[in-house]
Amino acid sequence: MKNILVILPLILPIISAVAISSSKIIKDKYLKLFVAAVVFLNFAFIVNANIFSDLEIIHVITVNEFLDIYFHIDQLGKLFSYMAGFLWILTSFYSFEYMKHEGKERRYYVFFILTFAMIMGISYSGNLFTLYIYYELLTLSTFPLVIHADSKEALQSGKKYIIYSFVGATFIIFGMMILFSISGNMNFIGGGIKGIGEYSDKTLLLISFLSMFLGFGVKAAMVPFHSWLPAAMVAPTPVSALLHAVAVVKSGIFALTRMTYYIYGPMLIKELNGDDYLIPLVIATIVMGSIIALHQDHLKKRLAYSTISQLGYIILGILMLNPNGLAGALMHMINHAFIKITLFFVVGSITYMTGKKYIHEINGLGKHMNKSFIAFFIASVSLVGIPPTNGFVSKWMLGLGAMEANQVLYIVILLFSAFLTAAYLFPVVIAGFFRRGDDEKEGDRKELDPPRLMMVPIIMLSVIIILLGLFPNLVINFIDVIIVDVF
Amino acid sequence: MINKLVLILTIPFLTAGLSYYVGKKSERIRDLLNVISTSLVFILIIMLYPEVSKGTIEYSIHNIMGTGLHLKVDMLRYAMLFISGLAWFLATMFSTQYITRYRHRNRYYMFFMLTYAFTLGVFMSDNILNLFTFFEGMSLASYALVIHDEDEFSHDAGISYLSMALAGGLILLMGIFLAFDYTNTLEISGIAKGMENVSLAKQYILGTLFIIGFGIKASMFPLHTWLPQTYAAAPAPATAILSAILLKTGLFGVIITILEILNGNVVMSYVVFGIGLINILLGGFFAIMQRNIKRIIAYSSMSQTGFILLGIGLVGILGNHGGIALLGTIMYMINHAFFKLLLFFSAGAIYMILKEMSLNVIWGFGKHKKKLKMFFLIGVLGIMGVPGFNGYTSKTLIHEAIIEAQHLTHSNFFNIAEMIFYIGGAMTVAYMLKLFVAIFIDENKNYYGQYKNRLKKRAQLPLMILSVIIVFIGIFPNSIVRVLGSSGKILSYNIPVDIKFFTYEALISSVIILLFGGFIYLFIVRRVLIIKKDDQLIFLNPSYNWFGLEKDLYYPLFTSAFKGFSIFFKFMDVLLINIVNIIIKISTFIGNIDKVILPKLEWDKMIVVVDSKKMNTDINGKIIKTSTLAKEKYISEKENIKNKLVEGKEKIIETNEVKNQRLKHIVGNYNIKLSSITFSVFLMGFVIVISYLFIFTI
Repeated sequence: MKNILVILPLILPIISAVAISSSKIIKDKYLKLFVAAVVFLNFAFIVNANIFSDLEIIHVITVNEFLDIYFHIDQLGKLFSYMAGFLWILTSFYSFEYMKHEGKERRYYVFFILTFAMIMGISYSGNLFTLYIYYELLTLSTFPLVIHADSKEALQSGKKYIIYSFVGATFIIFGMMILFSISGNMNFIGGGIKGIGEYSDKTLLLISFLSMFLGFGVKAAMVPFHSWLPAAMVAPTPVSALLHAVAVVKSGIFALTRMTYYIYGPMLIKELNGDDYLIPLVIATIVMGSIIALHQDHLKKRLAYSTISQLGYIILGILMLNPNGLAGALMHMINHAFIKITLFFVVGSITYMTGKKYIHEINGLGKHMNKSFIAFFIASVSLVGIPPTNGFVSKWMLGLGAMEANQVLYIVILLFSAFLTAAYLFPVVIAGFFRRGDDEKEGDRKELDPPRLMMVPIIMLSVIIILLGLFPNLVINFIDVIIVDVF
Repeated sequence: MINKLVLILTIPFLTAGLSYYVGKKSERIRDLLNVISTSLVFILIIMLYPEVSKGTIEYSIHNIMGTGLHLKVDMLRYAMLFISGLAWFLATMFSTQYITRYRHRNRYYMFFMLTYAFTLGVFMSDNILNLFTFFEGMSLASYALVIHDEDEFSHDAGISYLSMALAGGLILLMGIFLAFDYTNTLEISGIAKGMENVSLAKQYILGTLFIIGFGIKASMFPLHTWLPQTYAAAPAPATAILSAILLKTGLFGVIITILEILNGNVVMSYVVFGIGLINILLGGFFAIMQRNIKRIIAYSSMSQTGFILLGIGLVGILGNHGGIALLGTIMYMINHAFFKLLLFFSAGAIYMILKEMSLNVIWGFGKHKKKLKMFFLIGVLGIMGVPGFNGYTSKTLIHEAIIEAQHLTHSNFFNIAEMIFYIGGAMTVAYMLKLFVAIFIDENKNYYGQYKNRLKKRAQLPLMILSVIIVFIGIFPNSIVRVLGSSGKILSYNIPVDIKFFTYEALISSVIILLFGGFIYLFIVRRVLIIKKDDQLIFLNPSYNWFGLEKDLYYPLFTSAFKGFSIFFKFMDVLLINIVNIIIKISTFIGNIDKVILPKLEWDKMIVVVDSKKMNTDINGKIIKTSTLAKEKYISEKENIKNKLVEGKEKIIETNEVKNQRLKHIVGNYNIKLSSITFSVFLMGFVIVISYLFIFTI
């Protein structure tokens, strides 16, 4: 019975997605109510599962050593599931309003809820194989969301997304094969699988590590596997927000963390020098994302490239292979989720209220959309890493990690990119607040802030951004358990 | 009882938020609120004095911002607090008159108070991370003041200001990272202690980073480029604040770095001293060239900063004997704040009436305006360093410190420095004379009358207060010295008390400076830079097209670097796609396979399957019939083939065509919906099976 309770957050969304898919079971007018109920209920289940799990292992299917699907809730999984569950609630409320003008709501909610299940599966999975299965299912369940507009451009982007994801999958499979042949065991254990380091053929280990890292790096938008992410911007805004904040890119990050710290372990990777091969790519990711973002006039595209750069920070933190670096990476995983989802929500509300999508169109808009633009400002300050916002906290931790790794270069890169971040985000705020619109007169003030269903999530998120900046110890204490477990 | 320090910090924050909302209802109440709260803060600051004179006050709140908030006020910080308190109080009073004809008044007050709060935070925090927080907040908040006019010019200035400020902040952060790494603490006093065990090279790196970070705000050469345009762009009270106080935050940071964190490291002190000399000369020189009042005063700020930097450098160089230099530095900072406020306010008063800043227009404006002339004259005499006005006192102290350094080191360097000190002083006299004579002495027929209705009494009050202070300090300098020296020590340097300011040597050197300055004005400025033509004065600015650091060096450098990076990373951006395309092309070439067969089929089908039910319209609202869509595709395909036929590749295309047809046939026959999802699942299954085979056969 207890097992079922724990496993509920994985099952409930699937059942409800099936229910939603039929208009006979869930009538049109109850659709949103049902979705709201499901996300809330599922969050409750997540809390329940996280608190009462007692580190149990729940086997679902065990065919053999390899084909063994089981769940195991540890601190990292809890962190990820809390974040996902919370943001899912906010996104669903935002979607209730936003999706009105996109149409095809039922299809959207089916896959929206389905994706939730996949994310839960990823966060609770106990071994690499389970993780991998859910990881692929995630690709499939998010695909209809990406191509939601059904336009040619959307389909093209969807194709790109799928192709990139499966290229990544191929790499992962390749790495998994080698890994399994070496270790015969792919269960997640903090600090790495025991005995894996004693294997004599280090080259093989290294190949499997690099191959898997690159494979999971596709979803984490690592150079050169990043270009699906800007292309996926054709999706409706809540989807992009979710894609960027939690669903896809963060599951990539999550998988990378799992793989690096729970399969190979930091000691082994240091011994293999695995990070040396990847750091150049990561640095390229950080700088490239920022610089290309500067060239984008399309708001969502700009944010997309910004995500690439920020994910680079997180991967860099993971590859620092020291406690502070990992703590910084995990902090930034959380913080970036909150920041990016806010930014996307605001951009979405600009599009929703005015139909404007480009930066050159938004001059003077901040006077009409006061709250939204203040939220945008808070989020961008946070993303640049100016205290007292949460973005600074994670950047600080990452900087400490870099010092611990004796790499001043990393800090220089971080700060350089932070400067570029300011350069591509502040002009949006400045244009909104301080530039005069084309046909603007004094006192001419329209109320263009979006309806409450969209506004409340935005406000909540920006408050959280500041609160987490003022009182970061909450998250730090949570993460410390992971760090102790891993190192 | 809430701690006074916390109160001082929170009142402006609260006022900032409040004034925005109150301002929507009533402008008068908002103005009143601002004046009251600034005066309240000022009173609180004054009330701090008895405690500070006994010793350092400290206060900390834990569990905020991860590291806690640690406030500390010693004599140096108190002096800074005091001038900020007074400056803001007066500037707010002046703003209530000045800003009335501007747009976005509520916004102005909000950011004005926010800047205040952050500035106070900078001066009070002992935790370097808190300091950084406030420093960045101050930069951001003051940005809104700089671009208040919202025209093209102010936006340009704003971008220059903001990007320099942010870059400075990040460099500072870099230094903070290093400092934390070296010493494992964030308290400034702790870092200072820890620094003793750190190697010299590391100290230099750290010091350089800190000084660059703070130096941008302090307009140190060559980081001063943002200063002239920013000052010219902002509204007058904001400019006054920028020059009087925000500049000082940078200088305060330099003091902290050199004297506290690096414990007066001699090499870094010499560096600061050298930069100070450059600043004096360059600032003075460009100030002489300008013809916009605000720009003249702006460059003058740069030059005066140079004097202050000299002082800071001298403290480090003199070591234990640095008391007098430190006193001079602090006095200079205080005095500079006062006369700069007065000058900018007066310039603002002129701008309020004429809406013009260029000397070419406003020359001769003040000939008959007695009060304004008097105020401005006091400011001018103050900045020139005429005995009896405050500028003289601090200049005398710095001069004395230079002579002392010369005695101590017997180095000719200080003789040269003394020369530059004289030249700098003379330049100050020259450009101030230029300004004063042009506006208040020369006769211009365009201007007559008093414009009394445009300048209310209340706007004159701050000017009056400042004039009184300037004269008071000038006549009784020791009153300030006694206040500063009451705790005996500032930053571990002994402060001398009861200094003789009006000695024979000091007076003589002051006279030399004045005479030399008058000489420059008469024989260079009046002859070269001012042309008289039909009763009109025309002011020239030959430096207008000269080499400018920002426009001719930084900007091209950054843009070209940016372009280079962009090209490189654009290439990276599409790298994978290009590689894949090339591979596909090669394989097509070698294997003679039409690569489009599969995807094309698949996507055509996809559109049909997905669209058939719901999507009858595309984005533009056109109704698409699925069958016609497919037909169009088919036709275009055929046309393509025809075109290719013309090109003379009949055979290959034909075989491809046949292949295409056959595949379509097969797919149709077996009725497989080869949509992307099913295909992907199939692919995944395939990969899994293959990998199974691998694993179990190995």
